[in-house]
Amino acid sequence: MEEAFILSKISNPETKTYGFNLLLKHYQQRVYWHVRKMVIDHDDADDLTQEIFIKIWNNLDKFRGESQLFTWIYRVATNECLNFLNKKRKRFFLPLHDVAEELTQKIESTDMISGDEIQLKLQKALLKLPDKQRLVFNMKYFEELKFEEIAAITDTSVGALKASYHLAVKKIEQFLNEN
Amino acid sequence: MKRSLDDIKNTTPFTVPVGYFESLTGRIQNRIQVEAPKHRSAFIPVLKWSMVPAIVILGFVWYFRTQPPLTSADLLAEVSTQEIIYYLDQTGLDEAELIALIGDDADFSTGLEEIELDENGLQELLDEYDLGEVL
Repeated sequence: MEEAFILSKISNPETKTYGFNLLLKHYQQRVYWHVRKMVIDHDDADDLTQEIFIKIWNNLDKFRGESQLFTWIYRVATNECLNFLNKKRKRFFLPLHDVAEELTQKIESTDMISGDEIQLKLQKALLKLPDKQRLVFNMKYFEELKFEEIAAITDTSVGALKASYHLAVKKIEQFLNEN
Repeated sequence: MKRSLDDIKNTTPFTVPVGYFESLTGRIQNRIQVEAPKHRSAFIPVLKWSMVPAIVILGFVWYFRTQPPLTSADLLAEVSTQEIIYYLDQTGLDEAELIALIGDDADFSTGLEEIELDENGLQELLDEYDLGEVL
């Protein structure tokens, strides 16, 4: 379904709810997986995904179409993920590696995971990265977004993103070979 | 053997409960119907917190306005007899001074005045109650 069609429904007050339902069905899985890869825990991802769409609904009138709808939704989701991780850190006064440790334990203990050993190892390696670098890596590697799209979402230059991604790849491969 | 990211499938290993996404749509739609868009005024938090002292002050005003003024009898009633006796002991006033303080209106009659007895009868009564030394 074309983004333009969803937008046309959303911009009309009489079809706004219908347009939002189309948006929800079109993007909910992408948003959920985007969030899940960052917060690891299913329940946290579930809560955050709901909050993200509530926020999108409450701010639909403010969307001026200056960016793509997809970019705007991803930007809201990305900010919510980063806020969630920051709050977690502040709440428990945990330094970076402790949140990473907590998420690593979730990977090891959850039954909602079904990858082979090397995929699990990759997930653990990703948790060694800073949140923003992990976010960029996820969007490029798993979601296969273009650097230009990631740049629009994160409001960062393409050059900086490329550098961040290649640095992340090096760190991950180093982790995989050392462990 | 050196591992590279090219050796790993770029699929996520995470899973979700069966039927999760179908239920997610409904849950979000339900929440949107319940939660109306929030238009919060910057004034509301200020107003909310300024209400607390205002309510406390109004409570005090209401309490004191509805209480009737206390009379000296009310105040005296709040003091126990033991405390009064203790106070009087500490003041060192004798009986005459106490009567003078209370005033002339006080009735300190013993009731003996109303009994008409001759001298012998009075002596018998005093002997009976062993009050000879007191009077």
